[in-house]
Amino acid sequence: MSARIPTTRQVVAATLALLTLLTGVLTAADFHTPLRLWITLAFVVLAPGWALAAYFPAAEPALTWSVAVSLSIALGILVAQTMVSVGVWYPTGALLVLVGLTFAALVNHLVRRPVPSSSPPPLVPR
Amino acid sequence: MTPDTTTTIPFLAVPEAINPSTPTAVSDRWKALNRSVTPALAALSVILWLVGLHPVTPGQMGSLGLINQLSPILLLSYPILLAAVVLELVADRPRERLLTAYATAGVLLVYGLQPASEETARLSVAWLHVGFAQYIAAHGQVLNGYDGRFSWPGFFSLVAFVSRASGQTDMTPLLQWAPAVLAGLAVLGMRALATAVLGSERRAWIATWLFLLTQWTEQDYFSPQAVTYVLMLGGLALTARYLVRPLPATSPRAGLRGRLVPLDSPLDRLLAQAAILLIALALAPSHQLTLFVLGGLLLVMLLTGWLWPAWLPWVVLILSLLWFCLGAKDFWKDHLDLVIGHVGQINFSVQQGLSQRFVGDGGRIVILTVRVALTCTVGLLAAAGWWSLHRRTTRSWTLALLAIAPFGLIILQSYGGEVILRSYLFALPFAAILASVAVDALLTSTWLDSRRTALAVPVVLLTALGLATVTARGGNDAYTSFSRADLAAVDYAYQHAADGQTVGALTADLPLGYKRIGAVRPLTVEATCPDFAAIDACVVAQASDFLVVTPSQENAGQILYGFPAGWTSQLIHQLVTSGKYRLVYDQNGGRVLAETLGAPHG
Repeated sequence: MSARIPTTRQVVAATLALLTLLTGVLTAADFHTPLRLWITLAFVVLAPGWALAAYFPAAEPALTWSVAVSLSIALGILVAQTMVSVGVWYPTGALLVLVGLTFAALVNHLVRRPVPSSSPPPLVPR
Repeated sequence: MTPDTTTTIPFLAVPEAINPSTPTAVSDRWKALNRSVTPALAALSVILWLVGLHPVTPGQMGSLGLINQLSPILLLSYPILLAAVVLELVADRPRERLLTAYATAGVLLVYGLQPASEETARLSVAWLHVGFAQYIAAHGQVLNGYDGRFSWPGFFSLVAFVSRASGQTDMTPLLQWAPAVLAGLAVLGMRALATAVLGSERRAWIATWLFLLTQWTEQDYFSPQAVTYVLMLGGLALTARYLVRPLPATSPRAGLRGRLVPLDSPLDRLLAQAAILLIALALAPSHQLTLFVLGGLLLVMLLTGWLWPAWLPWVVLILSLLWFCLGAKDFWKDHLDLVIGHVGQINFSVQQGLSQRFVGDGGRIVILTVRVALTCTVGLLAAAGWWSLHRRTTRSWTLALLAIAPFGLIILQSYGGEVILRSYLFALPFAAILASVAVDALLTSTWLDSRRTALAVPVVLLTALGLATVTARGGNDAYTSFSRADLAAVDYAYQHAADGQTVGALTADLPLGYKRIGAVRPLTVEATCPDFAAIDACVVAQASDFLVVTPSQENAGQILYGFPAGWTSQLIHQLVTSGKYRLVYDQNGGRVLAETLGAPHG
């Protein structure tokens, strides 16, 4: 019986799940290190959006990552701005919720079957 | 389709020499050499760049800015990297991973130059943005009535969120490399958009490189516009990939009623629309222009028959209007004239954005001319690319309209004199896509007399664009960059200012406002002085409690106002001898004056 080779999607999902877990642990433990800023930033900019973008059929890596970053930042802005607008400012709690939801989605990507890729013709023909 | 060389313009004809579909034309030896040469050239380029780097402070720079301080070794790295890119692009099978690595190197060489060679983050506005974010982090709300930018606080709220959630109160470490990271993300977005529009082929890489090499606007510093630009490109890429299906190339006009359903599954289309809606929701409270522009571009796609979901542009535009009316009420109730006062006054916008900017000494004029030349060159290349497409493959006007539409902002307002610059930034992605067709045609030209020339011309063109952008981006650095000594002087003033006191600067080129927002008020003499030549009287009239003077401001006075060398020292001497101020800090060029207690306020 041969072991299945993990797909690129699964490798990325596992890496981002680790980043998500690390962010969650550092935040929950309120661990003070300068690295925490960079780890939290990397999580906020990459992980939630990738967890959503990976539900699209496999596309060009540039498209996947561009959408992942855009959606991550958009989610971060919406979470932060909602707290500011409503006047309920709990950044640590909000981050932990985001960590939990992202982790669940990333685990789902680790176990689900890959979506077949599709590649329509370019908009501008040669 | 085989091009008819008797009816197409010469440079559009595909030569046998480079066309990948004619393998006999390229020798095996050349191909084998190419495969190892391009990584070696790229590696050499990065090594030369790193070896050629050296620290530069504002005091060393003249009116041409950073370019005068760059070593020849470092400058040599640009043509070498671009030679590697062009050689890889014309290979039989261009290697995607290498091209991605080269693009990353390109981002480092173009956008990482200033962070790597300057001591601290440049541009005073970037520092001010940290101050806004830190205020929200500390208070959980915006400071109403303080600054119009608090009416679009999405980006500042995000930074405040990260700041508090990571337990870090000082976000200034994010500033220095922000331009390289944010510009890199924009390049990634451009690559995604170009791939969706042009397919995964050479032209998509050329479009990416044209974008990378001609984004001279410097709107990639730590700011809402830089982050929202990345989001906009992501949204446009999603749209182009999942929600657009143009009519066949032979159909000249599609129109609103001729739209076709994209080929992707209904679920994919639904996901794409939801994702774009999410991006639009985040853009609305984050930047005043970007969502309007995204809505406008989607509307162009709809009206020309490209975009399938007809509701999308309207919802995007309604969202931006809703936030403007409800969320940004604090801004427009006091500044409505700024928003609608110049609608339709194109002359005013052009004067503010172009002619009134052509002030300063010779070096400054050279820098401004380089920016205009770069913009015109991109425009000409885009026009040539559109003509090529129009003649050969598609008669659609959509891409041309998408590249032109952002300049419609000029009709609406001057945007504080920046409207042409912003229009260029928003037009650049589609202009680069069109221009890539022209540059690709250069690579495959038959009118150039040899294969070497056919390769050399694009390398020279791309190098000229890249070096012009490096020149333009660093052109103001004599007064927009700072040394650590400048920051130490500002820190000293903030440490000694009591709540309610003011810290002033002579020109706007000082990193003020990055701490104690709402407690200590930053002031700039330049902003309130009607006759800057009589600055000594303005300083006395403004009567800041602390006045910070740095080499950057000395340079600004010389370059922008024609003041003599040493004008800040003369001014300090006057202020001290008059008894109105005393010098309380003087280290490594950074000086702080404190108002003398009991001195009469002018």
